[in-house]
Amino acid sequence: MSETMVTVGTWLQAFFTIVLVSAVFKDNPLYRFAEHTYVGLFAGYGVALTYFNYIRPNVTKNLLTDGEWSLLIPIILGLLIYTRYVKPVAWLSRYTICFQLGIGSGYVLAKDFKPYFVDQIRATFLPLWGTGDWWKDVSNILFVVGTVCSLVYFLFTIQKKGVQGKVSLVGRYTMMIAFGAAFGNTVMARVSLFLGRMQFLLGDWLGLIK
Amino acid sequence: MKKEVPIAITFILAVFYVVANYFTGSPFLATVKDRLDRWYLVVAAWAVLVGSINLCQIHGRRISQKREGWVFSVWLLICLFGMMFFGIFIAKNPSHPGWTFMYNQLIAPMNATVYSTIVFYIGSAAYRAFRVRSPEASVLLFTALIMMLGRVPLGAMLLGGNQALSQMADWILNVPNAAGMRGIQIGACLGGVATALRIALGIERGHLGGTGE
Repeated sequence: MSETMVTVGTWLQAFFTIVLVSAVFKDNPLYRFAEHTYVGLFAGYGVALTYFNYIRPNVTKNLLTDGEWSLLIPIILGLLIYTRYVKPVAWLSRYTICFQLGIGSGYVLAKDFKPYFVDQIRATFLPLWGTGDWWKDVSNILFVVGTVCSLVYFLFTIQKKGVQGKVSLVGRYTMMIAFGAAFGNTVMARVSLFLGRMQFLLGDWLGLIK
Repeated sequence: MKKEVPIAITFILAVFYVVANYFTGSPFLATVKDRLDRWYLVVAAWAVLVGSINLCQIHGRRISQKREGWVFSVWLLICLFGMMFFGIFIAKNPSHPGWTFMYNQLIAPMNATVYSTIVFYIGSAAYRAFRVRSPEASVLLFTALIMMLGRVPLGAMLLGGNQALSQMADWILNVPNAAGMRGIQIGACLGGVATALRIALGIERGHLGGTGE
């Protein structure tokens, strides 16, 4: 990339960074301009990227060059989704949705059960005593109790009274800790992104920091 | 034709997919399953314009009714079609310098900035939502504080160089957080399987709507 393009790119980045951050103080027309630019460019980018990665290779290479004519079936199925914009034939778009949902639900039934259910339960069978490290024993006990109690919280067919109520409450607290951790991590990830943008403004753009 | 055939397609595909995953020794089933996997991606790729059409409908309506900020909608559509046209007809491949320029100098930094500004909104939302009103909210807030302080040098600095906060954050992440998340994941998996079964068996039919019938 030429020197001029690098400079233009840096100024564009700086402009859009400042304008997008300005909304934190107050909504303003420049922010709305940047916001609409972002949405438009990102949507256009997604379409063009799908064209590069899937549509073009399927048509030019697989279909026309290699003669894989069976690909016409998914292509027609994919195009049928656009019939939903033409009322008299809108029902045809159900074929696309049902095809995708058929494979999707089959995938969930066949593939998801083991990693997200069986393996998770298997991994919860931890040694609760005699690991040689008392802190590990305590952690394992808390882990198993926390997991079981969180599951009990989701049992809506039993009344949450008495023992069930107490177990469910422990599950609730365990989940609150999990949500707190997730929240803390999300905030830190966003702060790190923000620092990156500030480093760009003060370093690459203004040259105030190295 | 309008409802029964699509539901039958869903059922047949779901059953086939499950059978093909359990009878892995059959070359026929494996070939058809591989083809279906590819077709799934192709169908999704050809349906990519649905999102853009929705954007055009929403912003087109705003422009035609001259609602507040309609000029921005015009600009959004210019950016949308400009980027699509530039990518498909001018750049023609993802390694084109103009295309990489658009991504590296505009889209990626704007993406990072938009996501980074969310921190201010979730911060203020969290303040309003989690103010120490109930024991649960206090637990959530306290955990979040430990996680945040334990991940930055400030945490150790506040304790005079002691790494206790960082160790606490690690422990919270590996024990109570993992336990809570595991419970949620197992519950979500059961919910997902139940929904998949409902869809495959044609009990759940919400996705057949939205066609004006």
